[in-house]
This record gives sequence, structure tokens and C-alpha cells, in this order.
Amino acid sequence: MRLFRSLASRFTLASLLVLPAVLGLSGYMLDQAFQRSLSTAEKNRLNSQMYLLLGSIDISAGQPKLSQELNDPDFSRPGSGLYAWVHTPLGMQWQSPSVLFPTPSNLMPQSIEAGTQHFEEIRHSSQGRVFSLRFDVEWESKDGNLPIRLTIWRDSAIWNAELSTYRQQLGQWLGSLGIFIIFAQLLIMRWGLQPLKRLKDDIDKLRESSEQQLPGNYPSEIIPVTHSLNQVLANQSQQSERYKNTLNDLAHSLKTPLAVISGFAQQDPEFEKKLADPLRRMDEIISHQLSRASLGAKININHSIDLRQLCKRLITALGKVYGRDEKDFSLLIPADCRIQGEEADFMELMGNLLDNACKYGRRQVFVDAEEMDGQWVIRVEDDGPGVAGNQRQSILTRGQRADTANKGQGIGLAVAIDIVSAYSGSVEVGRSPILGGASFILTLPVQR
Amino acid sequence: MRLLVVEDEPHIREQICTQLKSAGYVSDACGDGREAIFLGTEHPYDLAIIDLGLPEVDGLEVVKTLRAEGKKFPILILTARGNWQDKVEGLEAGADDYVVKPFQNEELLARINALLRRAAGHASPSLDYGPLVINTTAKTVSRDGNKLELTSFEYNTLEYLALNSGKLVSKTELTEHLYDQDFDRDSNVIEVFIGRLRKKIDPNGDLKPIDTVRGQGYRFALETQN
Repeated sequence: MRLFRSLASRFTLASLLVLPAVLGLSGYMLDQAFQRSLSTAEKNRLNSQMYLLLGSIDISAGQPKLSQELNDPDFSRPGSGLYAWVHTPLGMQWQSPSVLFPTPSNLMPQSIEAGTQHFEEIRHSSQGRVFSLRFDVEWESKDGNLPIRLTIWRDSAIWNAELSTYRQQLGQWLGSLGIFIIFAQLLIMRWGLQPLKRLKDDIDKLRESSEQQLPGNYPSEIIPVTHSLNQVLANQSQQSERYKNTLNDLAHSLKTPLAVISGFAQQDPEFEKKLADPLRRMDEIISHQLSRASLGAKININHSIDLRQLCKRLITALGKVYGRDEKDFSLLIPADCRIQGEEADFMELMGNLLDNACKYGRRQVFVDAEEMDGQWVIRVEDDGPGVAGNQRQSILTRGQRADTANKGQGIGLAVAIDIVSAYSGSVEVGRSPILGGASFILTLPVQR
Repeated sequence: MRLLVVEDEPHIREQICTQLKSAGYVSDACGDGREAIFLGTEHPYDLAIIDLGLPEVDGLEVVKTLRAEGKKFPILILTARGNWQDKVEGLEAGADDYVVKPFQNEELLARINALLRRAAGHASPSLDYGPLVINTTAKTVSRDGNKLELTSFEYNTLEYLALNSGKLVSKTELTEHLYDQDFDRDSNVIEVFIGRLRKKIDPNGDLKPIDTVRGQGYRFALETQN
């Protein structure tokens, strides 16, 4: 899935899945613990009430009686939620005025075991959930020992209110905690992924600068990667250098004897006539094949080329060759135009096109580049005679020359076409709308 | 015109020198960069032809060193690979033009001619002084539309003076730029040449193209009309 290609989205997704589970489980456990403590508190409260009730009971005529008003007014207020009953084996002896419902029949003791206490939660048909504390005592009196069961009930309203307050609080805490964790996690993720971002920036910088190596200050987990990458880069750079030297040597060792033969041939008009054409063909084949071979010497991390600067250098050089005052160059490439590629390739490509424009144009040469729909469109135009419509296709066919007398154009253009093809682009020939001469339009995909 | 030829392949070097000689140029040749730097800094050349692929000190380095030494003569580089990176580097280092090997002799001579002319500040190959016209491509001189018969030494002397128009040219400078090192440097020979040249191009003495600066040398006095 596309989403999981990003480390950040993996981490985010994982924490989004784990975080609610952790927070939910913690909330559940805290809630359970709080309920237990609430129940214990409830039991203690009922215990106190029980002792107060015990203190208020007197035995007269063999029956338990309330000797004084109960301290807690809730016992007297009808429906207050706090209820008490006093039973003997003979039946119910007393119930608090707060009881408005029929005394539940199961309060009637089967047997009274003095000294036992029993706390439980009961679900009552009309009162709902209630807490009940039952205490069996044996009352010593003049008439002998009297077994008594004291029962106190309290409904769960307070308990529920406290729980609900707690839950609300707990929800807020856990929510804040969750937000804090997410925030902290984002910061940690940022911090943790920073070396990767730096690695990416450093690789980008490699394209911009002449640096050939990544710096060494990365975390230990990434160092093996950058180390390997540096090795690959160093190897490639060495290989490319070796390749370039080999090509130069090859060019030198093939072209020099060719120049010698050509020189000797030119000393004898008879020979020259016979040898001129084969020598020219050999020269063109060598030049063309060497250019094609040099296209293979590409480094994987392409540098970004400042096309305007590159064309400026070429124009200065061509200005020298063709005489500064004789050519009028219009360089309209924007200053921020950066193309990914090898400088040598683009030097060769633009050099050949600009040289042709100088060679076949009269005075004006126009060069322009713009980004359109994810493609670079580079135009080189001149004010020369242009290329006739029926020749436009044929001069683009590799190595074919528009005019056999014009030595050089075929090879220069063929090399340019090879380079453009190597960068998956295309070349078109047309008539320049501004200058009226030939217009070479290159289309190259923008590589990011 | 004295030219420096720097090419490590002896055959090509020889061929270039032969061509230059037949075109009326004087040349010194060498096969390595170190000697080229020495010759280039020690002698007043009018142009240098330097191969980029030299052993030890390469051609690019030679061009850079000569320019760093303040040498202003035009430099033509020869390149075997002929790729634009090399050409641009050579031209940026201070070369003025390039020729890719193998080359046609005519092409090389045409480039040399154009560079010499441009160095003297003339865009057109024809130097027009009104009645006197010097065609540097065809190496001919005409007076009032009539072609003059000049020897190559005479032509070269005239062309050198014309390309250094308005400047005082000493006899020593003329000898150095126009004749081989083994040439007899008797200044009388130069005087005789100049005298003969004046008679040919200005028989009636009404144009006075070449002034004599007593005890110092000569100065070409005409100004081009193009």
C-alpha cells in the first residue's frame, strides 16, 4: 500500500492503533480499582452508621427499642436512600421512618449468628442497586440474651455520583495524556527521522555541488548505509573518470593516425581524391561512436545542471570562435532552470545545436528553455535558411546529413539526438517563428 | 608571421609546418608542453597552434600558463576528441579557436588567417586602404584594382606591417616575425625589401603607405576604409 511507503505514516498508524488500546485498558483498570475503593468506603460508612444504630438501641420488655433519636437525619427523612431495620428471631422489631417501600421479606433472619457481619450489593426491585450491611449481635439483658439482626441499606446514588465524577475526570486525564503522547510521539518521530531527512538533503546537495561524498556525521544505524553509498559513489566516480580517460586515449590514438594519413593524403591530389571520403567516414564513425560510448559513463546520482550557465559558457566560447561581433546570441533560459543530468552530455548536446545554429544561421541565435507539463522544452533557433520541410525528418534520422557538402552537421546532430534519446527525450525540427531559420525543439522529461 | 606549433605526433607536426611554410608563415615547432611554455614565453609569436593531448604538461596547461604570463597572441587548439567540454575548457583557458583532428589543411590555414586578422582588429579578410587592397585569404595585393605581383616575403612584410598598422615595427621585430631563425639578419636586407615593396605598391610615390622612422623602424601609415 502506498501509505506504508512512508516511515512517518507507518509510525503514526501504529501509534494510532496502539494508543487507544493502551489508554482504554488503563482507563478500565483505573475504573475497576476506583469502584473497589468506592465500595470499601461505602462499607466503612455503613459500618459507622451501624455503630450509631447500635448505640441508640435499648432493650425493654424483651424487645429492642430506639432509646434516642438517630444522629443521621436521613434515617428519619422518608425516601432518603438510607434505611435501617432491626429484626429478632420473632420478626421485624423496628424500621427507620425513611423506609417507604414494603420491607423485603428476605431480611427476615433464618438464624442469627452473633458477631457476624455481612456486606453485599443487592439489586432491589424498586430501589435498584443498594449496599447492604448486616450485623448480628446478642444483646445481654436482664431477661437473658436477645439475638438481634441489624440491617442498614443505602442506595447507590452517592456511589454512582462519585463514580461518574471520577469517570469524567479520568476521561479528561486520559484524553490529555493521549494528546500529549501523540504530540510527544510526533516530536520523537521528527527527531528520530531527522537523520534520514538530512541524508536526503545531503544527497540532494550532491546534485547541486561538486561534492562527491556524503558527510560522516550520521547516527550509527545509518552510517553503514552512507558508508556503502559513499563507496558506490567513489567507485562510480573513479569508473567514470577511468572511462573518460580511456575514451580520450582512444580518441587520441585513433584520430592522431587518421590525421597523419589525412595529412599525407593531402600532399598528393590523386590520393586525396581517393582517400578523402573514406577518411571522413572513418572520422565521423569514430567521433559518433565515442560520443555514444561516453553516454554510458553516467553516474547514477545525476547532478543538477544550471542550463543557463552552461549555455552562457558555450555562447562565450562560440563568440570567440565565430567572432564576437558577428553573432548575436539571445539567451532566454530562466536563471532557475535546473536539469538533472551529466554536464558533459548537456555540454555536448547544446554545443552541437548552438554550433549548428552559428554555422548555418546568419547572425542571430536564440536559445530558450521552459518547463511545460512535466517536460523541459528547449529551443535553439537561428536566422539561416532553415531546414526544408521534406528534409526535416531525414536529418533527424541518425547520421544522415541534410547536405553531403556540409560535413559535420550530420554527426553533430546525430550526437545530439543520441543524447536526447538517452535522456528519454525527443527532437523536432521546424521553422523559427521569430528568426525565420531552423528551429530545433528538444523535449526532455523533468527528472526529480 | 612567426607561429608556434606544439604537437607531439612528429608526422602531424611536420605536416603542419610544411603547410605553414608553403603559406608563407615562419614556424617553430616542439613536441612537449614544457618546451612550448619556454618557447611561448621567450619569443614574440604571432600565433600558437597547440595540441590538447600533449605528454606530461597537457595543452590546456600550456594555454593557461601562456595567458598567465601575459601572452596575448591568438592560440588555436587542436583536439582529437573534439567534444564540447574540451573545446569550451580550452577556449575558457584562453584559446581563441579550435580545430578537430583530422583536419583539412585549407581549414587550418583559414582559421589561422582569420585569427591573425582578428587579432589585428580586422573583421573582414580584405584590408581596404582605398587604392590599395590586401586580401589576407587569397594573400594577394591590388593597387587601383590591378593585382600586384609580390613575392611571398614581400607579401608577408606588407601584411605584417598592415596588421600592425600605426604601430612602430623595428627591423628586428620584422626579422623575428617573418624569417626563419637561420636567416641572415643583416638589416640592409630588410631595407632592400622595403624599398622594393614601396616601388611595387606605390610606384608614383603618391600614397606613401610605409613610413620610415629613422634609426627605429617602419610604420604602416594608411587606415582601412572598411
